[in-house]
Amino acid sequence: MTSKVSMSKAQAYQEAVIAVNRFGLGARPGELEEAASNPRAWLLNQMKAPQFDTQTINTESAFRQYSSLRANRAKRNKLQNDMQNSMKSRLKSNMQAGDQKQSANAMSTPSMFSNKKSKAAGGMTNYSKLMRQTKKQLLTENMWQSVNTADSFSMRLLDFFSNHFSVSMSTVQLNVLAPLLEREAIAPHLFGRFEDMLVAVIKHPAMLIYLDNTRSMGPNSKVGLKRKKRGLNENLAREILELHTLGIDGGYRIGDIQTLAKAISGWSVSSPKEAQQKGFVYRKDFHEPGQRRMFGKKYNERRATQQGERILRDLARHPSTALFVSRKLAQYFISDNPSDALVNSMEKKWKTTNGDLRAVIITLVEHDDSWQTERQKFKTPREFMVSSLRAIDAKPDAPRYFFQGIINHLTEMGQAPFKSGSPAGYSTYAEAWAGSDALIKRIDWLNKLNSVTPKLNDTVLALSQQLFGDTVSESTLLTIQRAESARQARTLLLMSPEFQRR
Amino acid sequence: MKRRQFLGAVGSSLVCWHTPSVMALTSKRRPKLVWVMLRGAMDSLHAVLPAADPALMLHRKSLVKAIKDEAFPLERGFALHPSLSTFAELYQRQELIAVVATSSGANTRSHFRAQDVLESGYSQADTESGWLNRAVDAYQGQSLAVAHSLPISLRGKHASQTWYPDSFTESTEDLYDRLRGLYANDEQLLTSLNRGLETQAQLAGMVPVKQHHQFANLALSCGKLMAAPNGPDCSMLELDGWDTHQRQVSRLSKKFSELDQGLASLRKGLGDQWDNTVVIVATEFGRTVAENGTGGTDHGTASAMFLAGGAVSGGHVYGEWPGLNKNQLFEGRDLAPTSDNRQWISTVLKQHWQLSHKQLDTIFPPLAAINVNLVKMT
Repeated sequence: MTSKVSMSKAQAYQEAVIAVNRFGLGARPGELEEAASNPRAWLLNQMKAPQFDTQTINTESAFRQYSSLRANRAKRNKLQNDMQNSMKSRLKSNMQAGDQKQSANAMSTPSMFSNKKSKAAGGMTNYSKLMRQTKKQLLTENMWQSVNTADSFSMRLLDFFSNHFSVSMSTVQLNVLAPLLEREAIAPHLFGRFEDMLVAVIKHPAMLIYLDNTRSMGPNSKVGLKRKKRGLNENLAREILELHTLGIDGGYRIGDIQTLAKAISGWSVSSPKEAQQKGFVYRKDFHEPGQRRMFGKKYNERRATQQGERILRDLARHPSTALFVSRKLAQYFISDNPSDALVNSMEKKWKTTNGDLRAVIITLVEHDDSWQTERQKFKTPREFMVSSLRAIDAKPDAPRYFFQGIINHLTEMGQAPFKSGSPAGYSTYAEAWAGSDALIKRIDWLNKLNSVTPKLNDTVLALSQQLFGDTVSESTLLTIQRAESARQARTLLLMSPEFQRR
Repeated sequence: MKRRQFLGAVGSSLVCWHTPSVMALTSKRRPKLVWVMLRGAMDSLHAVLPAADPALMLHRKSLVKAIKDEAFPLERGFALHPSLSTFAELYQRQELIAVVATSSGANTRSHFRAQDVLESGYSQADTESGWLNRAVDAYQGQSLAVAHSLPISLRGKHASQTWYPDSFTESTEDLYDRLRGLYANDEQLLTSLNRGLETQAQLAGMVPVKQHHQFANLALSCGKLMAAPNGPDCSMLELDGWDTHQRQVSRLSKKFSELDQGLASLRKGLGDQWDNTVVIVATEFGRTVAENGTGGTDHGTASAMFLAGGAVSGGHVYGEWPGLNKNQLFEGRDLAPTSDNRQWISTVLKQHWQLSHKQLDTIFPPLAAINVNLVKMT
């Protein structure tokens, strides 16, 4: 091997480490080699929407169950059995998906997460139990997919937008609807237009319920005129402007919040009694009639939801949104304080493409400032846990219980899925996650992981190669080599500065 | 290794610590504040029984009958639930105030929304800014949340810390030593590690690991951490499970015991610092005055709050009593609020932490002042 070749190989590995760790969720075995051939192309090839099984459990089925259980309590047991049967008949494929990289790409729900024991559902006596159980299943599937996917870059993007449109499980119904928002409204548009994602998210029952839009009614709407006590609820409109699109400094006024609230008044969800529609409904009688004006533009009264949708689409294309979401993306992937050059080029791309997320993300990947060697991001608990499990290629005997346990651990680390308790979602900054208690928990969690994952097949040096190639620091290398046991060595490697930051 | 000051021990390493205020340097004993939030809407009529109100029995005969004979009598014809024996003892020592018919100001019967309002301290909840955060920021103090993740009360500009025992596996000293070596050139990680280990040392051997999560143990740890040299000036504890739509008598009897033991443990953990402390206990809203069909009560409006601690000028029941006659009830069903939680909290902040009106205006919306000494004047 000539020195020239080994130099370029070292460089390729340098970039591959960044691709896999900074953009992706950490290296599974063999992944670094794949990335090394062309790290940027390796990322761009992952840009396909994550797939989920939305046939078995979806918003419509969740609403149907809700109304059925509410409407006729006598039928309850039968319905639960039906539910049970449908769970049983979930796709049986992908059981070996963890061994087959190909199938990990287009993953649907593995059968190992379905509820095998009939008594689990048969014994359920109420709706909230059913919802909680379904929630567990959805969260567990997502975690399993994050750990096993070959497209971890797209899973991280999904996490980003899921957190951007944060919904907390504040009601029983939201236990199921919150994870479905991610699957139904975010994932399909991950590499499409931001405006399509925005409209899909705002119309999703999870968001309408979480931010109280379901009973918001215009003061001059048909029902509003009769029921003076009820009125507009501005919660959703406020958060759309402040958190989802323009940003708090995005140049909107209080009047704009009201205008938007009026435009989306009547966007609601079906009640248990409404047999025809299940999920989103447009209530014309709640909608504030008339024209809306925002940022100097007029929006005439239109059929159904079109007035509100047109405003949302314009908000998605607004220059403030371009800057706000571009910066947030750069902060999420690259640095708590990303360079202006990087943010500006993403913002520019956003403006010229009217918010084409694929184009904006390509800009992020191709910008030189995204490839600085310094690791500037401290991993969130979720990123740390998922990358650890990917590193050790976790193949537990009882995956369902194992990954349910992982969700509980994530809760203990302070990042329970869909529980941030704020429409602003979880922070992605180091100051939120690098505290002393948090660091001790990471060490203790790895100890626990050692005790539940069976024997180590590979040496720690092989693991270090798998994760970092030859880029690991000398002090880390020395520390892991001098460890008193293979397990301790693994813990030290996963606690190393190289692994804690991206 | 040089023993680090506690200030660092709970601290997240990253943010620069506030320079201790002049007061901190000159005074050995800084007044401490503990904020205990009861999630799920505690039934105040079951906690502080308005025994003298003749209408009480009309609304909830069986709920009252179960406790009234053993309740601890307070002034103005009120009585404390029999499980609240520590509360009763503190009342006798004039270290406890009960405030009746007070509410969070949240115009909703949704737990979630009302909790957000109570924590935020704004009538329109801001989930990124909590009243305790703004208060400790004004006070230039340190804070600790005993929680997995930061509750709204402590979210905001001031950098607060969280601590909570985990179910994971503790490490050996040897591993920690090796990690110190590994972080020799990484100040951020090294500082966090050392501070984390310091906290562990302060709590070592206190309670069996398995029961760490019990409220009394959390409260004990919380008190211990606060009492450590340069421990935080304020902390937050949470206790949920108050949503008693059914079987209220037995459930609340257990719940009040849990709360009572928690207060006793907190006092124990604080040690001498108890005399410096005000504990504020509140809930998001009260419950219906009338008993429902399943031996419980439903979501209501006004509830009660408690102020406890050696620094409290106690032995009183405060708050105007609105009465329980049908025409006196809020919307015909709930105990009517005669004060706002925030008026009492604001008065505590003023008297205990000496916050100015200008500072209080950054914490709560303008509210009528309460002209009572809630805190001992020294």
